[in-house]
Amino acid sequence: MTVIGACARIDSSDAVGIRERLATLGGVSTFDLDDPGRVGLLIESESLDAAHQTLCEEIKLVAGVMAVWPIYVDTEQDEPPDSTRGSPVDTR
Amino acid sequence: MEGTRREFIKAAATTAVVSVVGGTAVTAEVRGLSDPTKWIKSVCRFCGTGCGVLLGVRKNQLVSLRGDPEHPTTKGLVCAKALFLPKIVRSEDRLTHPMIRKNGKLARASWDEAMSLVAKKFAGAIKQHGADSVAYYGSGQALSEESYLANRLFKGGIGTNNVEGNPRLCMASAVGGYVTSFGKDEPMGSYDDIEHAGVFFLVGSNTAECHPVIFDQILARRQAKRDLQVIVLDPRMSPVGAMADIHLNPEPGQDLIVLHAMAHVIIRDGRYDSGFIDKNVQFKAVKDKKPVKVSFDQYREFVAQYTPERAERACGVNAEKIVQAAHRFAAGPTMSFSTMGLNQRTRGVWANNLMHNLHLITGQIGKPGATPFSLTGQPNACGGVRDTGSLCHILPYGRVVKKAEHRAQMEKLWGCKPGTIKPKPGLHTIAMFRALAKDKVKAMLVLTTNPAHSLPNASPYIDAMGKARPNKPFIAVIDAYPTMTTELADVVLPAGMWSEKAGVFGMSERRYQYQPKISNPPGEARSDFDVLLDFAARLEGHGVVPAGYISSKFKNTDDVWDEMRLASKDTAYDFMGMTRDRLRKERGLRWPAPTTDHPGTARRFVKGEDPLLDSGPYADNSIGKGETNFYAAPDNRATVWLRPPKGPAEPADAEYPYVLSTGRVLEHWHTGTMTMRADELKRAYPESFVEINPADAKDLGVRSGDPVRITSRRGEAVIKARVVDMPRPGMVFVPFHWEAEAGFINRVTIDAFDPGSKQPEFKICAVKLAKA
Repeated sequence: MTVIGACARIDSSDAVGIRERLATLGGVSTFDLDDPGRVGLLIESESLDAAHQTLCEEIKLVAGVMAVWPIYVDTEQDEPPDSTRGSPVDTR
Repeated sequence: MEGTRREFIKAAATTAVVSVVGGTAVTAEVRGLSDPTKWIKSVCRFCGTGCGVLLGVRKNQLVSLRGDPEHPTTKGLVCAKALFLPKIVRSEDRLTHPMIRKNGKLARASWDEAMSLVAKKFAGAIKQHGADSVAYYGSGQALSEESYLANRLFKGGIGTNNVEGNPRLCMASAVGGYVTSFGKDEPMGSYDDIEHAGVFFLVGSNTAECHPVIFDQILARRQAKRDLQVIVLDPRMSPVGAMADIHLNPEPGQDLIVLHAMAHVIIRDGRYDSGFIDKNVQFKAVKDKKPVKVSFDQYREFVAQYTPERAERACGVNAEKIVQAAHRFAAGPTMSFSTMGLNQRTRGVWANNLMHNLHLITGQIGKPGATPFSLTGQPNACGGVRDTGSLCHILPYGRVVKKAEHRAQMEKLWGCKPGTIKPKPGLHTIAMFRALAKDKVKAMLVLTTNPAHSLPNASPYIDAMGKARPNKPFIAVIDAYPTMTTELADVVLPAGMWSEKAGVFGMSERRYQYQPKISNPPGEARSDFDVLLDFAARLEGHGVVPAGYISSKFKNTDDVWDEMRLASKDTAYDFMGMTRDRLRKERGLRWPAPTTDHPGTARRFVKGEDPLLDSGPYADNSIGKGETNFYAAPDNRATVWLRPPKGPAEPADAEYPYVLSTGRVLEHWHTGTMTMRADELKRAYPESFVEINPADAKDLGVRSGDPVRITSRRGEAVIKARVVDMPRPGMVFVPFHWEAEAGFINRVTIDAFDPGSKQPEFKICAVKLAKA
């Protein structure tokens, strides 16, 4: 399973329509961001390649989407180690 | 359980996005790290945008990062790479103890053993072969104080100008362009201009992937100003080209004639600003290798030959598009952004000049929204290497080694004997590594950079650093991570990273920003600064640096900063007013800032904005508010240069019929030393790829995913194809982040360099392709 968190810069004058069009793409859900000219995207897919294809070849073609940036990618379940190396100092 | 994990990952992804682009809405967390208990302002460690960040600290450990919503220019936005910095800093494979190569293998050593050996090798070379037998190769990722200290040590202490750094590979042509057009380095405008621009001219800049926060601001400006125009000059349809109103895509290396053709149209159609030109501009050509002044009419005659139709025949860009671009540029307000596509060329300085020419003849400069602006690839190439003079031909704050007056000023400040600083420039980067290959450089110190991966035509330079041979030069490397370069070193010294040391980064818009120390480096690692102090003291002990030259003057980076401020006094960079206390409190300051009450300068050379026009050596009270005085330039006038259009060093030919251009992707940064240590970023792009135009792919019988052999006159790489309509036909594009041997593209690139800036031509070399 792959999950990509992404941000799209959109034409804010058609934000509702764009979100509706994005929602029709399989595995894509949207969420609000502070800036009405942006929309958050959550892409769920069975593989990284498929998720990447959705990101690069489907979302970018949605009318009103100007640019998309992947911000978070996760393709596995296990937790990474939580290193505790390095000793504390006065941080002022 | 699966559902729980999935929901957790989705929440993490959502949180990450909201954190990065939503500003204050939600705290950013990297999965697996703990909740912070306090936030401390700092600056991002990646590109030269200089994004303000807040570091989340818990139990005096860096655990999280988010954009700083109070930062005056980046306003809370950071890109995906920054989000993973806490993880990258805490990578399990950090270097934690010194190592010395013994019997061909790196073995653990104490600091004293390692530093004694480094000092002994350098001192021995200096005593036996002279000061110019040693060299320093630094980085636009070191702190400003570290670069300044190394420069001071080598030029004023040891007495060699063999001081270089990786900004030679990325920004030298921009420096050359600024200096020859305006007299001094660094932009006159700032990010403030984005909010006033009516036209963006993006030249050789994939802003969307390489400077994504700036790209977002461009898009935001487009939202606010619906008639805003974006003109892109780039042979590749990058994500930036895809949103352009006009995309000019010449054959690689043929953009100079496009810039001339735009100037031709501007003058032919009366779109130039004669009032601005009369007051502020001079015209120069080069005759018999010397610059000579010419008239505006001579310039007009010069560009008259470069009609849009001629440009179309020469480079394939539609003539009407050139006319449209020229008209829109002249209408303005126009802000140009340029980066590696313009710089990494054998005519990079000229290309920068020609972009500046357009601003100067139209008066699109020195007013809100109108400026040329070079985006920097590293976080501290500007403040750390360029401004501190840490290259082989320059000295701090606009001084050059060739000028006796400048050498004398620095010798006085540094307390050197007169004549210590050599008048002849040292070895520039390619010359330095060629000298290493010939065993003429006997000892080299490499700091926070990975030349084995990042140099073009890398094979001979990898051999130079690592191939066993009698009298092989000695290489010491200071770094936080194992790299291709540490693999070749004789001594490896483990360094502190970013949040493990305090100092200043200076980014693209002349803003100097303070980064605090959050935690100590892991294991026995030390900050690069502490290593340099130790090194200097030991060289003093060997008698090759005057006793006390460094050791009696500096204990920490605060001490160095105070001397740096003094070095800037009464120069065009004057930042005497940037005390350490101010930088600790404020979200950076832009120089000039000559007094402690000055808020910093958004626009240089403009009366009413630039404090140096009000008092001091550059004062001019004959001009009114808003008027321009290019006080750093000869005769106080910027120069429009008559430069003939020249192509690349190695164009495509019958034997090597394609042009290779290298670059970057959003998720990775330079040689991947940091980004490849974040699993999430690595998985986004786990391996290299070569973009091939569909027409070329058809000819080659290649489909996406097929391995393709890319061969140049220097080497080859085998990389999976990505068939996509982004590079123009005849051109292929490869990001250079991966070091895996088969896909290591810098064995293929060319080390031809610009004769002025000495910057190599990473963007263009001839290759042949075959399905592997």
